[in-house]
Amino acid sequence: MSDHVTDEQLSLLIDGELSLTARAAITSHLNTCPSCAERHDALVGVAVSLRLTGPARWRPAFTAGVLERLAPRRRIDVALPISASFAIAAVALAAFHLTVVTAGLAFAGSMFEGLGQFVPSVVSARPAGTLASLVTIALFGPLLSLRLARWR
Amino acid sequence: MEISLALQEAESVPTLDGVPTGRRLEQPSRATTPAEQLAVERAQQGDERAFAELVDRYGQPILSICYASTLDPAEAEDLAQEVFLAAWRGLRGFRGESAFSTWLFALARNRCVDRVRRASVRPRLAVEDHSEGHAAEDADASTRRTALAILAAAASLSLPLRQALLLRDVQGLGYEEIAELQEVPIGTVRSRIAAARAAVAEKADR
Repeated sequence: MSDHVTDEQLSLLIDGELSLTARAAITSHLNTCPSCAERHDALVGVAVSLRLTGPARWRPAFTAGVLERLAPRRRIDVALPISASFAIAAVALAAFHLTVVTAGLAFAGSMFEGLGQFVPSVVSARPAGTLASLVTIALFGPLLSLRLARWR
Repeated sequence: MEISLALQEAESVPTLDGVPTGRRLEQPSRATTPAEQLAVERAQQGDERAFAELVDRYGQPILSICYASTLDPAEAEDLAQEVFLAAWRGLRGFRGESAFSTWLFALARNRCVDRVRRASVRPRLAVEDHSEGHAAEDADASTRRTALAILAAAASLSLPLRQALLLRDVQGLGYEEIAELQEVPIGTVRSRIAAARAAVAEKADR
């Protein structure tokens, strides 16, 4: 038995966790006991200061961040139909292949310019580059497009 | 004089010097629903969307306990994400012998203990990182300094006391929710919060 209220009772009073009867008894005691009233004010000060700091809040972006960390590579979300992915793959391959072949032929032409009649000119070699590109697309285009389509 | 304690259910949003004491973040009911059970089973089979549902459901309480442990919003976010990553990796080992929430909260508590052992606690105000709509926005510099001093005093408490205090006074959780997160009887929560407040008040008074 104590002549004063305990810290736990004061704490429960602050949090509104007491019955009306208990609250009335403690409040009445606080009105007549400076020592307990001082402790009560100190505990209220702590609670109020902490409440003013603001809570940490979960945001939807955090869920996305968690999922991103689960398996980063699989989060690449390409949802293309097979025809569209084939078209993209074909155009990309053609552009790349034409560039490489044309540049290669231009380089060869410049190297062997002096041998004129033995080496085809860049212009006359372009159809050959185009043909090689078509063959490449036919071989690798379907494989690449399937890969893109599965990557969803 | 003997003052008896008769507890009652928490009243509807009482206020403390103008600050609502009953302010709560949105906390889901922790009872395992059939939908949650299904989400857990799907997540165990590798379904990321089902796991995302669980992250959405338990993100706030996990972030709350992480912040109550680290006192640093950015670190709490990182730690909360680590908890969920650990949950994803360990989900196949979850046999359903306890509620999913119990399993997840235990995981979070262990991670918090590990983190606090590894690094010292350096308090930062949540408002420094999350400036959207709460009371501290309008608080003046003096109030912020006082709040930071109180947080610094809280940082020196033992982890269980610090968690109980901050889950109550910063995150606004009820006693029962704290008891569930800490997996202790509600009486222990009462005594922890009271002891923590008294200790912080004494430190702040020095």
